[in-house]
Amino acid sequence: MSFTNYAFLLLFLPLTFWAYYKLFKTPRGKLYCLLAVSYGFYALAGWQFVPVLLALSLLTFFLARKEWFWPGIILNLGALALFKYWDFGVENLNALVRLLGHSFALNLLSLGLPLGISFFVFKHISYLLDLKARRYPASTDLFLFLVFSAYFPQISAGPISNFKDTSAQLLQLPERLEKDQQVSGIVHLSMGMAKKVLIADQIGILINTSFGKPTYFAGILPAWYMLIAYALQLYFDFSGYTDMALGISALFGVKLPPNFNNPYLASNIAEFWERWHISLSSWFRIYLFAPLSRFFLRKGGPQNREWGQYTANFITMSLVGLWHGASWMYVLWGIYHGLLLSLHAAWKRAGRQFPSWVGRPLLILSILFGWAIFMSPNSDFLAHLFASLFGIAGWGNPAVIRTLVRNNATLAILAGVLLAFSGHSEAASLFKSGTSIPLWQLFSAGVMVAICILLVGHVQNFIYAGF
Amino acid sequence: MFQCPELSHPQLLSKETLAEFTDFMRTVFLFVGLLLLANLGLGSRKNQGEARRYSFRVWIFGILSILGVTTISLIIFNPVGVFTWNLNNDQGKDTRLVKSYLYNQLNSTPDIIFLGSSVSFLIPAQKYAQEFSLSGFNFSVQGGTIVDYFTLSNLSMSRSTNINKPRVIVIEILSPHLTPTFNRIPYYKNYPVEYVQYMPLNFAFKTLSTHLGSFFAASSISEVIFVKSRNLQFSNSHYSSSDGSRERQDPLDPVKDASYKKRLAGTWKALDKQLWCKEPDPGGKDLLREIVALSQQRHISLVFYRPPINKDFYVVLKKDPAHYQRCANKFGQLMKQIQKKNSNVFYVDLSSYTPLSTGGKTLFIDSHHLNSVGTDHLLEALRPTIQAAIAHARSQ
Repeated sequence: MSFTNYAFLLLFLPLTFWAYYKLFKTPRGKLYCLLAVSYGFYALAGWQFVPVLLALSLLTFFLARKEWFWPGIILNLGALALFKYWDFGVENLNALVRLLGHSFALNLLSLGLPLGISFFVFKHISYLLDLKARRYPASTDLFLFLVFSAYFPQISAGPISNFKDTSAQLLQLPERLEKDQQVSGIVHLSMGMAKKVLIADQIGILINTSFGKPTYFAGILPAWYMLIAYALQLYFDFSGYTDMALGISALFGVKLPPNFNNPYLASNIAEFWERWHISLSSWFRIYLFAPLSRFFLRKGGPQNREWGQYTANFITMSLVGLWHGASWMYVLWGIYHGLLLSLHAAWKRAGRQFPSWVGRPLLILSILFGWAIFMSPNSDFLAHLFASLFGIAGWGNPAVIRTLVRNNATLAILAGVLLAFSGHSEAASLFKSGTSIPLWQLFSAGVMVAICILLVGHVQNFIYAGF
Repeated sequence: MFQCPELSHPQLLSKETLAEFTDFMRTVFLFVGLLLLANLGLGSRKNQGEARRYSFRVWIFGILSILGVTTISLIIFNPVGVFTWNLNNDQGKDTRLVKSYLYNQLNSTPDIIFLGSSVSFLIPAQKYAQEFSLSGFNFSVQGGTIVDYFTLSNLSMSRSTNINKPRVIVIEILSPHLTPTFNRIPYYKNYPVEYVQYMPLNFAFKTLSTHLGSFFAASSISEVIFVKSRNLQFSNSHYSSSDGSRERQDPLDPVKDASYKKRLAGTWKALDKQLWCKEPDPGGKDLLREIVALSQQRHISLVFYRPPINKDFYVVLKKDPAHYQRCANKFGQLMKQIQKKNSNVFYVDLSSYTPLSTGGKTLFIDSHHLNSVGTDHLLEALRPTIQAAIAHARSQ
């Protein structure tokens, strides 16, 4: 089940809020309600994977109580590897074996991907690593941990929150919602839905139908159009989802961490990663990059500090790439960002700085080239795309250009560019300056949600829910 | 029919114009939505402290002001055929919707109800039933399966009373009919929302979910605006007569031999699939037993028949009819078991009934669809069984 599914918006969500506030009055009762609803949500998305979520949550909880942190981490990583990477590994191994002239081949498992496995496994691992580092004590409350693990607003695609912050709120679920939280919730929900339905999906309809049509990527104009469109689709799809998740959660009285902060306004690549998918980049920074940097510093000594950081950058970013999916293109995208981060670190260390009128466009271009890798299903597609981007394939087919310009996606792209560079593309940014949302804007937000519901028929699944 | 004076072929052209209009309306919806998003993101803010007591209600009011109006207009005008009233553009509608509409128009429950697939479309139910001084209704539907048979028998039995109830339900059945989506198309989702209550639960949920999706859609609103703004008079016309049967389809013109061969070649694959030898679907068997149990409770007779197959089909396929007969026998054993246990159940296998199956193009229009003469022969072949079934029902 997706946040933009009719059944979710018109039945599941209203019924859940009704039950949450009308039937359950105590914080504990509300916690049980959230547990039941979260597992219900997960079952509706794919009931066959409910045992996977439940078993991993239970095992993580009990292994943590026993302080068996590494078995817990290995178990979670093992499950992730089995469901997400096994077939990818086997395909590559079989190809290698064939290359060496042998006929031996392992079978694919084709197990399918449990919804949100990349997200809840990372929540489990952060919990185990935090306990190992004695940041907080292990939870003795099984139900609390099960809700933390399966909490439905964030199960599909994050944000990845840590146990300490989330559990503290889950233990004090409010009987009634404060007005500020209510407004925050509905504005997040409205804006998230609008970003998803009105921008990301309008572009998505075009992009999804274009992948089978090479002329849509051939030529400098179509290629740049599609690349910019994809960059906006990805951003508004994921930040739209995140705003919806934050909004729904706020309406239950639980504040989740933000995932985006106007990333296309970053002034350098390091800042971009502080603004893009914040919960994932923080996870990797805390639990992988920092320990790796310390390790390389210990091994290489202070004189090799830079090389240690570069290596940590490459390893971390390759894994960030691999986290997105079992494909070499994602790994390549990660390596590319590792390279950008290392170049930026070296540039900064040398005390150099681009003027902002050069630096900003250069950064946007670098990010766009990264999305070219990210969007390409294979290296042939990527090679053709780059050839087109650099004008090798001419200007493009005039009929295709006309079709693109007349498409609804163009309207969405223009609105997307305006919003992405306005500094107000996150719902959270509307609450920063000590002002409130006027009632008439809340009314128009409601009208906007209704329009989104009417346009939902063409909605695509959330991209990050597939990672 | 459409009343659209400027168009010589209104139905086709209106459809095209409607598609363009829907695209245009989607753009309008999108544009308005984006303006509202820009207003929310970039609009002016008030200082803290403004009363926000009614914020949630105001937001909900915003949603309902649009969805409320659209919901009411969608219910009244029924542009996507979720309900059985105000049907329009009958060419595009599934037989389920049209026949549901016709069934709702009946003053009383018919005595004989025919269920089946397109093979049974031509059965003149009312005319045939009158021969027994009874009333009849042809509720056969496109790609009929056990889900249809369950839904429609449940409907007819649930709506009946002790006095006014069907006496006999005649069901065309093949082994794959027990698999709800054997033809890969979930036709059952085309039932109107009023009929969902009679469907098996899991299929009811799927149907409701589909209706929800097509109901709250910009395209539905567009269709209402399009029709009303042009004052197009969509009729409640349908391609079935009031007893649910299709117009007579007489034998093909012998001159058009090529047309027959083409039809034969175009349908043998589908029929070959229908005659498979696989074990009947367990879920389908359960539904079949439920139909039987329901009819037992209400003292209604059930006549199941395996429809005839054009002998020319075997020629096209170059296969031994005995192969299919073995499969038929396997399914027949199941049906005979049910017949043995339930005195109200009758089963006839007409798949290789010679007077019919050897009729070629005088009785068939393709490998398994009968023409009107063939349908008359089929009803003649069924007559003794139906008579016995009526007698059994009367004796209860």
